[in-house]
Amino acid sequence: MELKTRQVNDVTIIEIEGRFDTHTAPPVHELLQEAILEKPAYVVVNLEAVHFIDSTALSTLVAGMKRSRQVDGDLRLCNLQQPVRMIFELTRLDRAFEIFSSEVEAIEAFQEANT
Amino acid sequence: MMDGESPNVTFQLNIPASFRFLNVVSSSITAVLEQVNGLSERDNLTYNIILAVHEVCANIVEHAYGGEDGRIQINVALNETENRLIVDLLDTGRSFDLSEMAQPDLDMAPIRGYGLFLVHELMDKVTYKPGDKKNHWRLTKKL
Repeated sequence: MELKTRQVNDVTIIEIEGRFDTHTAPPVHELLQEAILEKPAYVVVNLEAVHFIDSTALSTLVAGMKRSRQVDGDLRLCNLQQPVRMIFELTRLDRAFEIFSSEVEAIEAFQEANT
Repeated sequence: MMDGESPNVTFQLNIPASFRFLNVVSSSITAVLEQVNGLSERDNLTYNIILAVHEVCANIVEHAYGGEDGRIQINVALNETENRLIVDLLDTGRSFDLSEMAQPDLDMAPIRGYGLFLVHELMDKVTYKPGDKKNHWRLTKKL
């Protein structure tokens, strides 16, 4: 799994590539912890290159989303591949997360909320 | 049906009970399903099966063996005559009572508890038989 992070204005973008599962989730967890310490805790996780996600990865994202909302931020998702999206729908996490079809839309939604 | 082959295929994997080898299981099952002609919604079906098997393996690593050394034996039986895939998973770790596993309250977006929920949702039939020597999971999916 490859992990990249970058900053666009106030928003931390985390790009994950490959298999996001119980074996590869710990570094994502650490990165989310660091990103949420920043204020504002605005995080976008780009899942465009994730072809496999498991329950531990879901747990990692849910924990990050809940922590960020506790400090008036949010963790948003974008670019889910179809099989991955189906898992979010099956677990009803498509209702818990704000999910966008592109990274730009996810970033803009943070900026619109601040204007 | 696979080209020029018997419609029924079985294979076995025997892996160390470690998270880092679970991608081998996914790759093997994906490779078998790639050879089956005429699968509807191939990508989703393949994902659903490999995710369910992965979740059972992860459960065995984390709970049956609790981080200790162990093995997972995986028997995959593809029966194209009956359009069915059966995956048996055997471990020699601690057993548990499947009926006592709490269902996650999905409306609350819980942080944990998705693993076995997904296994049951993604497969047509899931059985678990705890044993003194071996615990036996059987996952069945109609293709």
